[in-house]
Amino acid sequence: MLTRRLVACFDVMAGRLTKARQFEDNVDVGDPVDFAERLYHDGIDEIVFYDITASSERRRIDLETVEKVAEKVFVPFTVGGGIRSVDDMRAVLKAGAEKISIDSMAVRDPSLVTAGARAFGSQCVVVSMQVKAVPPTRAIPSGYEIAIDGARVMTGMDALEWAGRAVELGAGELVVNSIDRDGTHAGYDLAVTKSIAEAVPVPVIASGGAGNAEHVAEAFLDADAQAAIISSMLYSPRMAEHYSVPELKAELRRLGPIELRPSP
Amino acid sequence: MDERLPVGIVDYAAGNSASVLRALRHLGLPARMVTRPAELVGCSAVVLPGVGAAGATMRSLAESGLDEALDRRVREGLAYVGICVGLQVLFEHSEEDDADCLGWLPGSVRRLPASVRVPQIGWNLVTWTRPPPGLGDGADAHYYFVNSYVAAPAHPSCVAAEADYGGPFPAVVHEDNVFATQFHLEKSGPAGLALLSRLLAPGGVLGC
Repeated sequence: MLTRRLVACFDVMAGRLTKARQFEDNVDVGDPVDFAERLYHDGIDEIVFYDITASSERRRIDLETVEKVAEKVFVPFTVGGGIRSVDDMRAVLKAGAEKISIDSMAVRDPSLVTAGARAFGSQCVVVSMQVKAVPPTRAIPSGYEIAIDGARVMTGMDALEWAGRAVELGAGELVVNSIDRDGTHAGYDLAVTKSIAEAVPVPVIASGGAGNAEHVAEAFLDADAQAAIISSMLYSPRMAEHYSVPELKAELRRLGPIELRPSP
Repeated sequence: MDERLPVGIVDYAAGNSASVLRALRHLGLPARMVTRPAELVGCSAVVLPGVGAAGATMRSLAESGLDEALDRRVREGLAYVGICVGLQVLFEHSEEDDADCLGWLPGSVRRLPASVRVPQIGWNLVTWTRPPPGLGDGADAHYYFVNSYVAAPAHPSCVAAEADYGGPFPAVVHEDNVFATQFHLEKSGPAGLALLSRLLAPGGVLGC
């Protein structure tokens, strides 16, 4: 049976691991390579790196960090931020990543999703969506709008419609990242995660807001997310106590019938 | 100077050969990239990794002439390890791109059923039904899968292990010197590295 995945998320700025709250106020956490290696040995199922300023600064992603991680981490990892072409994708994959995450660029240039899926297969292309709760309108019937550029620019696009479109374009996986919940430790936005998971045939990853094991369990049991992105609860300096991966998995098993890869 | 023969890793456009190279180096196994037939000479074994589509993989192998070279060398006894698409191309035909494949094993490759989310992405439990001798206890473990298609062998005797996703499917096929996993050995954590080592280390399952 396929297990649910715990995905550690690293926001990398200038080669350093940082932690933000609602996409702002980043504080320094440490060396991303050290953290990745530690979490690998701790039994994390997957890792995602966002070079969070690469896109808004219009520069290419930090390949050196990707290569260093690939030398030490033998579970899948995804890289996002600043990917603007199939050549950029190829460079990231060659550097050792399994998947590419496209966010703002997928909105600006949807053909990039299709080109990536043709070149490397849909399984390589993750579309990450920044979603924000808004009053429902005719243009945004789901009540969730897509934002880009680190939540700084609203697009007027409906999140549920964009999710379906992203899959048609060739995305093999979707990340639903709640801007309202990011870094708040208040739990995922289950409503939008669930409506997208019900609407698309590909795996959906919940993101933004996890502060404890109950939140992760809700994402799996109530919103049917196939994977959950966690970060604060693993390492945020803003939280007094952190979970180890085995502690979190043990807690999840207590909370409900959740299939997980056994801890080492 | 390391006098052991290197493991050849087939390097092609859509493969993730660099990840396999890193995993083998991490295990202390000598390895080198193979991009054309002559580079197969002097290899202790060959690994065909894959993340792309079966059709693209077969076209890429045909362009370099590696399809015929692999066919000849593996029939002569060269140990072969296929990963993901490297398992699927062993069969005669794949529904993906309607591709004719290597045909070393009778059977075909089909899309996963619509009852499950496709692609399958994640860690799935692999159960050994016919563990090869020398694999240790053949303990069941979770490995990392990323696939939209699965093999449908004509003869179930080549299936060494199974996993379940919308029904049982072959997770490992093994016949003589040919061994292939639908999961990513190089990205399956300590369990994947341990299996890779047991396959390719001197005196391992494939007798390299």
